[in-house]
Amino acid sequence: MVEKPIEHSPRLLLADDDVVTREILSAIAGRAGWHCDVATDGTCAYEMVSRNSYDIILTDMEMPGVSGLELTKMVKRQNPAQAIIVITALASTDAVVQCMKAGASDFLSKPVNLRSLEESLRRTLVMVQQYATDSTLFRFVENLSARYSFASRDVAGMRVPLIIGEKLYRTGTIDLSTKLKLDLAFQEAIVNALDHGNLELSSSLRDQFDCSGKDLYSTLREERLKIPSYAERRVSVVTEYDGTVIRILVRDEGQGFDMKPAQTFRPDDCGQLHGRGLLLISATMDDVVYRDGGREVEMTKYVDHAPGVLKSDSETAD
Amino acid sequence: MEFPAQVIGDKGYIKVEGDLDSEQSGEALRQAFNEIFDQGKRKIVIDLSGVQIINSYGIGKVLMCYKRLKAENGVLMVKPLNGFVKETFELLMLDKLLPVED
Repeated sequence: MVEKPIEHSPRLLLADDDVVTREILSAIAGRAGWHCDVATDGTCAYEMVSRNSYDIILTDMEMPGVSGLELTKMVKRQNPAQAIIVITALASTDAVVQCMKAGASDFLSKPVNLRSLEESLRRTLVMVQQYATDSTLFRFVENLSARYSFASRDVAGMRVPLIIGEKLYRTGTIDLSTKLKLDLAFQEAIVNALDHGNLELSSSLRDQFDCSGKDLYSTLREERLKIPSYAERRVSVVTEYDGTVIRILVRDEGQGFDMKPAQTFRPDDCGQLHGRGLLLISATMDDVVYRDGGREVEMTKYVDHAPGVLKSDSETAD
Repeated sequence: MEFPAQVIGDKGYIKVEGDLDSEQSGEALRQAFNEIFDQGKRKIVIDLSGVQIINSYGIGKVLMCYKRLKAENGVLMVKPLNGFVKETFELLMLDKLLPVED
């Protein structure tokens, strides 16, 4: 294979505490057209990532000090979009699952097969390049909207994802803090629509318990999810993004909900187990409007995003 | 879903795994709490270090634990508060209600 000029080669950081492994893998990567930097351990690798930009990080999972898994978590916290391939000698599924949960893009088992390495690098690079394209395109989005609805019983016990938030985060349009705020406000609105709207559950039931310590709210919720007249009521969601503003509309088919608890909310009154949801929505979104007796809520979040490099999130770092 | 619960000395510890924002996680917390509470422990620590999001539902479950302990002169603590969970607690002034165990 003809080696590409270094300045046009994709950049790889190889982290491995074994000198022989480093030499072999870096040679393989170089012949495949990669510009390869090497780090002798996880700490060194993290420092290099902080100073340089890499298309892919290839790391051994088992390293003294900062392991490959820990390195993955640390890097992902700063740059969720960073592609990482983990090499592991551990045959257990748990080790692989840990890697993927930490955000690794792919994994390779030792001893590393030449073809597997090249294929993994190629496949991951395609993903990195696609991501870069998506991120660029999202800066020019003029309208992105989605509309979906579901019956109460369809999502009982499930966490309804905010698809637009996930998409905007993965393309670097919004940072982690904004994504978490959107997720939180959306979840609160969904719970309000499902529980207080469609299932007509009163927050005051949270203060009442049966002999096992279970609150009556949960008990009644389970009962009503079995009754069609409650369970088949629907929740409708509309999300819109026009390049600068995210709008989320949630509507239910129930009685709406009582907004009075939120208006009289006293944070220092631990006896009040309700009203916090509405407060969280108003605190995490830039604008909130309730309509039709609380059956409909429209939440707005303004998006500030700079073109170019993905933003890292230090404000939610531990 | 189950949360590990253990007793160390006079304190009970509950390790919350994942986000505290669903019926399953709320029920897991309740069961772990009951397990320790039923052993007579009245100092209970909820470890939220692994939690990224806690919504009003999860907060409600935490507060129910608080109320049950308070009714018996017990203490509910959390440890530690990080990132967005810390922000959420501060927003609702729960950081003033629930002491953080060092």
